Amino acid sequence: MYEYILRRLGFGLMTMLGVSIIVFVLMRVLPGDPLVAIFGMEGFTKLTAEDRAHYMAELGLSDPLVVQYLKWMGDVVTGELGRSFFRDESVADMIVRRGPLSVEIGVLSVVISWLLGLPVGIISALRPNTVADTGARIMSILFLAVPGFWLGILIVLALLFQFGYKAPLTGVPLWVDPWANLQIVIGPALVLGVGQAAYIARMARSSLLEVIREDYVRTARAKGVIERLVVNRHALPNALLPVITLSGVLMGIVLGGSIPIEQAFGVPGLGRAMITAVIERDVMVMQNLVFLYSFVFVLVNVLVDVTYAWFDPRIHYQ
Amino acid sequence: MTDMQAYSPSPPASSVPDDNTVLSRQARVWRGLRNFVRRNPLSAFWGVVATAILIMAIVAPLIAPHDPLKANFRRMSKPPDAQNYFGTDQIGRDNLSRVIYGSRSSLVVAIAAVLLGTTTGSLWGLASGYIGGRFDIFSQRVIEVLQSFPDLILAMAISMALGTGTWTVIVAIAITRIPFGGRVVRAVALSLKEIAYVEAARGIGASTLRIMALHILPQCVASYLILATTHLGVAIVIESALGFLGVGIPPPTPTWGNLLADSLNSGLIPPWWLVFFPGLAITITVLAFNLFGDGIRDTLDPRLRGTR
Amino acid sequence: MSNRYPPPAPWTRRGLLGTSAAAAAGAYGLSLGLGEAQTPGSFDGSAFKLQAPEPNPKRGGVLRYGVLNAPAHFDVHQSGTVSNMGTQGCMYDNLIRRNPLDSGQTIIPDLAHSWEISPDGKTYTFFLRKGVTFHDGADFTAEDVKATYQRIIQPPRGFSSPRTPLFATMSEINVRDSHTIEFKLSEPRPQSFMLGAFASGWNIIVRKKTLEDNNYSLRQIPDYPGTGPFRSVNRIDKEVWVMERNPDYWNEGLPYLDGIEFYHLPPFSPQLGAALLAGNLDYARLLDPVSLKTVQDTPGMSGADYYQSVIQAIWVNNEREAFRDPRVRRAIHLVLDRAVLVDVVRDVAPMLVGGFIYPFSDFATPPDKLAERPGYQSDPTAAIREARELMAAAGYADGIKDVDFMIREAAAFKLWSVAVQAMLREILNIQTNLRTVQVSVWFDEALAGKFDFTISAIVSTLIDPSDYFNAWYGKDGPQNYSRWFNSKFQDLVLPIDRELDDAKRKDLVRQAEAVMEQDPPLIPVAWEKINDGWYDYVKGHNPYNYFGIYDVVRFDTFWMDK
Repeated sequence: MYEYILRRLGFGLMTMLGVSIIVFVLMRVLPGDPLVAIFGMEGFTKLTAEDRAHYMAELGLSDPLVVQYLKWMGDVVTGELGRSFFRDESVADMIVRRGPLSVEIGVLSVVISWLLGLPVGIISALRPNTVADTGARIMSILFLAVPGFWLGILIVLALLFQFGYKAPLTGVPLWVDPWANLQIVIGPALVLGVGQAAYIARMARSSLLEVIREDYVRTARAKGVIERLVVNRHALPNALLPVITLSGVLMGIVLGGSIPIEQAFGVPGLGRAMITAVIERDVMVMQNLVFLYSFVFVLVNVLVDVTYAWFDPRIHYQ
Repeated sequence: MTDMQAYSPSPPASSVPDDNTVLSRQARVWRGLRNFVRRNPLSAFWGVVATAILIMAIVAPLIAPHDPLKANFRRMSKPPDAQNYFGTDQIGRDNLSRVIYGSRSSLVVAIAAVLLGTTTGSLWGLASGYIGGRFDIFSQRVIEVLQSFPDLILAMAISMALGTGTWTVIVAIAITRIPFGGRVVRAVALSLKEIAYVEAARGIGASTLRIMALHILPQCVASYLILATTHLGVAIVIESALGFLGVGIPPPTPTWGNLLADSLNSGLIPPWWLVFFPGLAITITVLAFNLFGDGIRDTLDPRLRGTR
Repeated sequence: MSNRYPPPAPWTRRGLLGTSAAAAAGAYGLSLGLGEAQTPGSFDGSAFKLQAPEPNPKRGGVLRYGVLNAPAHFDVHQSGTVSNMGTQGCMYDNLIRRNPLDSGQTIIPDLAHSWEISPDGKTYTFFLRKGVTFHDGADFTAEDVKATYQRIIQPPRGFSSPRTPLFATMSEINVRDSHTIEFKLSEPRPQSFMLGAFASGWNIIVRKKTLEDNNYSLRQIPDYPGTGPFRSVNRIDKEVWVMERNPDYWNEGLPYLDGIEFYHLPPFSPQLGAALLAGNLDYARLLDPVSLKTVQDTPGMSGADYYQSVIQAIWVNNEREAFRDPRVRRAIHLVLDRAVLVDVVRDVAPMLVGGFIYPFSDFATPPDKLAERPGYQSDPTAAIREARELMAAAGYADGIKDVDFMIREAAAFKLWSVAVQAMLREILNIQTNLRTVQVSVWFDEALAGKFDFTISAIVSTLIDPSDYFNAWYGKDGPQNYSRWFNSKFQDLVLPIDRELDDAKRKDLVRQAEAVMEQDPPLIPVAWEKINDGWYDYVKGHNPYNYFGIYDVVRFDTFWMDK
């Protein structure tokens, strides 16, 4: 068991190494001279070759690539992630400041997806081919297809022009003003959550359908165990395992999807910081944020696998 | 962005030789279609919708009422009416024509990306599954790394690094599709490796390449088709999100993502028709491909029937 | 809408001077800068004190202000964007400044309470306030003024300021005593031009020691000390900049506000308009036109629509063979329907039709005259005919193919490029390929001259042609992105700079304009305007007749009637 966990962590680490190399390479082949972006056209033309070399060195961009990469890895390990090319902001500070909002949105969206998706999936599975089942399936299929950010735009527009509502202008931490904070995160979390709920519902339905046909469930029924108990005690726990795994995989939707959705809702989170960095070609910020998002994705999936191992007797007793 | 369970290979029942030799090829196709419609009327319907959208994209110049790039300064920002069914944008371009032409660029990108990405991934998975050994271990690690990026973020980073353009967007989306093909097809290849007729082929000294091409590849087609249809929807959504974030296909090419992004650049209140129709187009298209894909899955892989 | 202020006069700015100067408490106003107004050679403002125009301004309150605030750096002297000036302006003072009470029409004392200009027009002496301190407690002296101006006039390495050319004739800066400084010119320039240059909001006075300590680079320091009415408390990048009142501000009684919160909201964006209308802001700058209209229709709110120091223009790469021919450029110039181009972006950004000279300045051809000129007429028939003839004469009767039209990611540019593409294709058969690029890539390509056409905004500091004729159109001008050169025009530039007589100067400007009409250095698309909106309880400001948003950004006379 522990060996399994260790092995899984090891693989995770190796994966992150690969991820870091890809991110680094992508960020070094970006077109556009960062000095032009930083100094503007007029300023750039007035820089002598010497000045340019000086500023490139100051940005840490004139070292050999291997050195740059190793430095960055060192930074990642120490948590000192360098500074934005613009306004000299520390990337680590920015992550600490904006991160909580994005994390809240992500976590809340997963909670919403379970609260919505599971009941729908269970009803569908237990009463297959009824109106409820069909309705639930249509809803879940529909939400699979609606682009989250578009839904976000529609919601924002509707709120804005029907009710004159506008979310607070700046990020408010949960512990400072929970109500203002909720106003910021609830919209994006809902949109992201509904999208995931569609997957969760489908997975819960199919997984429960499969489990219900299993012999041990039949046996339980045959023994005369009441239906509710059969479902709650015997079928559900086993049917939930693949749903947990799916939730880990869906983290990709949460992380990637949150970027345009944060943009649509105007949430001052990490996703919007990433978009600004894209526009400004702020290599330091992009490099670290892309790496961070992938890191979270890998970490969540390692955790999910470990949880899975914990609950799955086949691995647990290995 | 789609469910990632590995699909088990279809049992070789359907490929038992001499099964359908009495029927002509054409008749077989027709019988297959009839069965498909009978078993999955809903999927068949959405299949028709998907086909209609594809045809719309192909014959866009014939059905679009206006030139999608032609500005009409006398009719700027007009809501839908008899002249422009979907209204006009800020420079008087016909929104309906733009949505129709948008299907072109969006679908071309999605299909090209899926063909490129899923195919590369599938062939890779096939080779890595069949050859095995170190090559397989190495491939698995690479695929794992690729899969560690959230799709959209990887596509965004690649599309930026390569400089925006139609091809870069295609390549960017394609790369995010590789791991799925790799995983699924590898599983199929692995399971087929030990099957009697493959071993027999090996026994009579057929080359690895020959076995892969003649014996394994045909068995992977079902999984490939299922993957490709589902991923078409995903690719369309990624394309539109890239367009929305400003790293997609550069304007003035109307893609659905660009149309959405542009609609928001119109002052305090974006005209609803500019926001609504492109999003609706994306939704319907993705819906059609997803449900059609479901139907294909059910038909080709009866074991998973009704489970998704 | 409040009637307290005179409505903006559409074309002449001088007509207003009487009314607005009277509204200014104390009426120290000194009419300057916008035309033939003659200024006295010396000005004694030792008793000058600024206060809000209303009789009983209230103290206190925090103003919530929405404006773009994502600058590439914090060095105001090197900047040309509202991203810096809009927020940082209130942390600093100038030597002399534009009067906030009359919408910046006149020049009033600031850190210099009085000044003298020698009769030969070559020596400008400023007498500085005593007892002024920087936010870090240090005393303000003439050395600080000298260090500030030296930096702008004789840029150190790695420093570039759009204001440097304004002081091209400045030969030396002398500190006469701790609170007197004199600037010497190698040859005289019109007084209005020079005082306008000194009063430019960009020329904030910073501490000599700050410059020395930071190796003359302020790019990465958000809160280097100033003497201004507000000082920085806390800045959250891309969200908000919180400022508090400077209790030791030299102008007794000012500022009225306890603080300002500057919220970062993109210009012309729905977010900005929505935030103001929803009451999350008290004042919003750079509203989109739709929001402005809503604001003006809402009781308890007011808005202003005023001029900006920016031209939006197409740069035509004069190094490409076809476009080296002035006839081709004139043809392009003639067929752009400017009224339509203004209309195309009406929901996105406020714009104004004009030619090569600020259309609302005294130097411009009056609008009724301009409207008679081909290229500006409401009936384009004559212009189109001439344009086609010119193309034929230049050997391009069948049009030009494969013209690379590079566009930056921005709403207005995207809309314009498509409209311009359509106009050129339909009338002259010039086939353009639009190429949209990210901002930083755009800079690279524009710098390398890798474009045939591109659209961009160009900013000037002053409304005076001497400023932008040199910068935009002059040989090797810092913003001459088209790489245009015309010897006839070039021969007129220096005489315009030197001419002290306004009537003669205007005549020279007209001649230069005529040259540009025939051989366009760039193709004017539109002249930018700015829209502000606020709740009526925000008092003590007067944006109606601003020229640009960079000169009057101090907030010292703002107060809230709440």
